[in-house]
Amino acid sequence: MSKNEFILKQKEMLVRAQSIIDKASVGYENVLKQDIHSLKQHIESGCIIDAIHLCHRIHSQAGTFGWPLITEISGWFKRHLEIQQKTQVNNNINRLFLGSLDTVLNNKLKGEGEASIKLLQHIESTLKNQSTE
Amino acid sequence: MPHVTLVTTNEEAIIKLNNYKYHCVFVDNMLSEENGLTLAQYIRHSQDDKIQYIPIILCTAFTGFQSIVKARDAGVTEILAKPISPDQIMEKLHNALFNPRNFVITDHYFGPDRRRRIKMIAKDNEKRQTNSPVFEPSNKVNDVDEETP
Repeated sequence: MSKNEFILKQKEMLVRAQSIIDKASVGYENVLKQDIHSLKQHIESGCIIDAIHLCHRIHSQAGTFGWPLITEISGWFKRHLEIQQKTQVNNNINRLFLGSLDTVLNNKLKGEGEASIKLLQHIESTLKNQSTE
Repeated sequence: MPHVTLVTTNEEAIIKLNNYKYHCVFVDNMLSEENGLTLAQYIRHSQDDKIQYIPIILCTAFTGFQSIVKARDAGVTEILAKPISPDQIMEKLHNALFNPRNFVITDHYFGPDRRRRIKMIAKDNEKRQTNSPVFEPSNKVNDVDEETP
């Protein structure tokens, strides 16, 4: 929520801007499908730098277009890919994140609700197990 | 109607900045966090007053501590963390234009004041005041006898 008190004209601008974003959000699901598909291809072909760039873009855009959970997960994924770039590729972690992105997309999880919380807990616990192995 | 110019490279932005007067610059850090900061540094190091003092709003998904410090040191006025919303954009624009920070000029830095102003409250002396009446329990005994006529 904004701390500033906006005048009526500014509030009207906000409503107009939000309606434009809402219209763009309708087509964003297809963009997201394509991006996640490309992300898988980058990972499979070992192009970690391209995967990081794409992850960064998904992280930057998804929340604006109504997919906050995708933003959250791709942000984590990006940080893990940056570590892999310096060390070595971890296929288990990559599968975990790609699978999670698919789950969010296929079930249209918007970030609230039990399914979303369970998914995030699953990612967290799997990552913890990975780090202790 | 305010005019908005959209450019895709730092070079184009510099040409526009040198030819027109802008009230605010939004810099979008797409892939490299250095890219947007280069433009911010150009603006702050400009010898032209109409460029040097322009508020800069950096839109970025690089929101780690080091990235924020770098942006601050480059003279960025406000940082807009991605993913963005219209409300956040308006908020930052409002702050940059109508609630600006003072400019600081030193040998090593030129840009908006990097410190956030936080009012310090002294521990010993409470200086906050309230307009509400303060009620204390009325268990005191008058130690002065009233004189009766």
